[in-house]
Amino acid sequence: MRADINEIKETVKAFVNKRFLKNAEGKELNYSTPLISGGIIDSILAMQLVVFLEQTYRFEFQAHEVDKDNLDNIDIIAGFVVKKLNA
Amino acid sequence: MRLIDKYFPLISVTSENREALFNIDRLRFFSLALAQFILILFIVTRYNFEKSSGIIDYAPYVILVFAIYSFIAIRFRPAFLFLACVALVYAAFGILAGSFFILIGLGLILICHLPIKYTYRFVLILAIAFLLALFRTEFIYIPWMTMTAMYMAPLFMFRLIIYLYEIKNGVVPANKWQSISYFFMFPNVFFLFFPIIDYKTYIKTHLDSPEKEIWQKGIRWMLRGLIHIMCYRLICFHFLIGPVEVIDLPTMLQYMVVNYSLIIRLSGVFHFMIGLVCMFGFNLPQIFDNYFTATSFVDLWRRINIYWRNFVLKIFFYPTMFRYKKILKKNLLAFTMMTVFFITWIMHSYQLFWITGVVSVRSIDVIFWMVIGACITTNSVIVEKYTLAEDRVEKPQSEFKKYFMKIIRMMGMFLFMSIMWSLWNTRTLEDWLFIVSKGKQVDSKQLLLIFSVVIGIIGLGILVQMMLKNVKLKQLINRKPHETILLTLSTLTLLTLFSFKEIRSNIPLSVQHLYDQISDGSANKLEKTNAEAGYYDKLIEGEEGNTIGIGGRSLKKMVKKNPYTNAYIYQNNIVNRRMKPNLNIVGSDHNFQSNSFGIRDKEYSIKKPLGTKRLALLGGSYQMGSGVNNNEVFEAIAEERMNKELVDTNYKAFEIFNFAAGGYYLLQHVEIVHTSVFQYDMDALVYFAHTDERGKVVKDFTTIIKKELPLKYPFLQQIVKESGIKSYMSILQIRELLTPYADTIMKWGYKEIYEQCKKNNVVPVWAYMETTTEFVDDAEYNELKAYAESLGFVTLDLRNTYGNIDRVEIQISDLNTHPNVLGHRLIAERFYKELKLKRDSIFRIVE
Repeated sequence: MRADINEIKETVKAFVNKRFLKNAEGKELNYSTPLISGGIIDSILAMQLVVFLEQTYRFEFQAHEVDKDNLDNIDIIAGFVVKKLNA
Repeated sequence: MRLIDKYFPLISVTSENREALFNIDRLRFFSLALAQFILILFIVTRYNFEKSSGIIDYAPYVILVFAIYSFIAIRFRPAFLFLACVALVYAAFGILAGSFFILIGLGLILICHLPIKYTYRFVLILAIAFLLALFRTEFIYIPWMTMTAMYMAPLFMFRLIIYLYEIKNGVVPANKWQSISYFFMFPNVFFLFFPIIDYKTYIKTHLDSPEKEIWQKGIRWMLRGLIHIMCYRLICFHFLIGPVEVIDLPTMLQYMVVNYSLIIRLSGVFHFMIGLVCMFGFNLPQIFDNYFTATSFVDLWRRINIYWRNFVLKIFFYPTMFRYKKILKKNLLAFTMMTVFFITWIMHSYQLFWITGVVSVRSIDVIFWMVIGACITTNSVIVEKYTLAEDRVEKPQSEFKKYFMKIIRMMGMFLFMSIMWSLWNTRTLEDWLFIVSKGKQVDSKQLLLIFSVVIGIIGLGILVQMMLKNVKLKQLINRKPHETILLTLSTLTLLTLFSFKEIRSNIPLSVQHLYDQISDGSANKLEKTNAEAGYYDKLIEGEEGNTIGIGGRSLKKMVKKNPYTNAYIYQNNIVNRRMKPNLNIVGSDHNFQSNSFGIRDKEYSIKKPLGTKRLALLGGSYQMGSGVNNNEVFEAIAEERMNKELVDTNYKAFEIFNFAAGGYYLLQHVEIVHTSVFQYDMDALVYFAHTDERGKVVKDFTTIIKKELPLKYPFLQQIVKESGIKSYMSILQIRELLTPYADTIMKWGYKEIYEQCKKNNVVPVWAYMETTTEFVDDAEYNELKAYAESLGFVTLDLRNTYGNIDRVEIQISDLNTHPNVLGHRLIAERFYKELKLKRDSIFRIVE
């Protein structure tokens, strides 16, 4: 499956906004907003994001990939998704 | 190439930007950091913080390492840090054990990188761990290897797991020195119980921000750690009560809340350790995040010991979840969380084992972790459902209601954790249930007081939240460490000045006393005497026979086995254990011999030689001379001196038979007097009493009941009947039921000893001796003395034996507080003087 990186960013942004920031006050999401280190996503919510990415882009996460290195902001997530799709 | 660059590449900065290392700005910030670091370590020394860690002894070395480290080329820094650790290990353990320590450690790292299958490497490491465990449990006993296992295992116990996990998942170590310095983490040698630092975090955070910011962060965290430890000591001093003091609802709540509050010591020590690591350029993340303000179980899980949580998530949570994901269609999160909490319990026992050598499987631990796990799991499932709900809408709430609900949730969480913590840190479930049962006792005044306190906290909580809405205040609180140097520096200076008596004498007395309270390293003494030390206390300060840092004065004693391990024969009577005859145990720092009568003394004839006066000595471990050689026990010294200085035509020789043994109290002495003492033709018998004589009788009787030892004396059987105690009851309940009889039992014991002496024409002597940890209670002394005299005992006063000498100077170690050689000499001096003074009453009365 091929996907445009900007498209991925928009899709993920929409998901994060809807799922994790629906009622959050004053939190504006951009591509570099820290999600894990900024406290928007924790271990449980990270798994929701993982399931969403797996289902949307049809690839499988490995346990060690659920990490700040791959999920900390939308830019990083999009880069990771592209890497997985190209693997 | 300059000589220094050619021959000492480690300290060369050729390849670095020399100007960057030595520019004025950096030097200025380094000087500031150095000054603050020195002050921090000075405060640690002045306030006696965590003495066993050894950081006090090695403070100048730590400063030196920091200073050199900060000015060597970055690429050489990991190697330098490792060498600094190696030097410390050799200094503390010596060549043999030190080399073994380093080689085994390097060997383990090497195995991780062997060019063989991952599984084989894993099995090899497991085999070495198993071997080390055999040493740790002393199943195999080779002194220096046992000591190595004790100190090395904590450095590797979690890091190896993380490292292997990373290797398995393809993380290639940046360079070998970084890996080595990760395992031989310099500050870890001081604090064996150390936060679980993640490998990737350790590598990635190194100098990921300007050095001045990382240094200042380290300083702030070390200072925060010290302040937490001060708070811990104040809480211990003012509020800590033991389980036996729980009598009603308010004291029950106090016991529980204070018990949980003591976790502040853990956060203090951990903050200090992480701050110390930061000083070497590792910009580590926060380890605790205001855990007392958690508003839900998930929130608490996020805030308390964040490093532990991240370790569990990485190594267990995600791998378990991905495994379950393939087989479970429903309740994935719930099953994963419960599995993880089960593993968390196992990991806590694993940690306890490697640090203390104790294999602990308690029902209380299972209950604690499973209840906590179930609560966090339920909360997580609710959070998950809530975020998954497409149409969720939050009802608008007034600010006041929000504040109110938040403080109520915080208080609820705090209370819940207090209850759970008290359960975890109580000896047995029966004891805990007994403490809880006290909560039923409450009157209207107490209820009103509790209600007022709750209202007060709610009011205060709302007020604080309102204040925190203020943007300026918020900014002030959230200022970064390097923006508050002035505040940090002035706090450090104030704490330093406050530690000087000359300066304190100019301030009000009540504030002066504060110093005594926050500088007293034995603040948790009460906790130790009344209850079993909690899980984290065991890890931070160890137990008898363990030392939790290279500064522990028990360190060198680890070299050889405790000489008393096989010194006793166990019997099914009140005495329970008797010393084996003809023992000759060679220990590391002292030897232990018993004679053919099974007492710790030299050989005597059964028949008394003509003209010799014999004195039987009854006592516990103090009188037996725990921790010193036979000839260094005060009894032996006094006997020798008596035979040199007190012999004359009336007294040709003196023989003191030492019937004392560890764990003997009044009831054991009654039995010994009935069964052993008088067959040796004694002239006198001295019974040694200590502080809290009645309390000790109750404790000892409780042990006898719990062990279901047969009570041959009708009087004791009657007490059991009257008091209604049963062996299945909790220790606390038995103690409570026995306490009203303490005086009667003690007096019965004295009378029994007296009667037996009278029957055998022996002079009874009563001696009162202070321990090295307790202060003399003059009122108790006067009362006991008057009673003993009323029966017909000759009395000896051994109070204030140690004079003005610092108690630390006369104790064997910080963990074994029995008198050392100097302590015994002082006791012998006093004992001899008292015997000399009353010689004629003791030995002539029967002539």
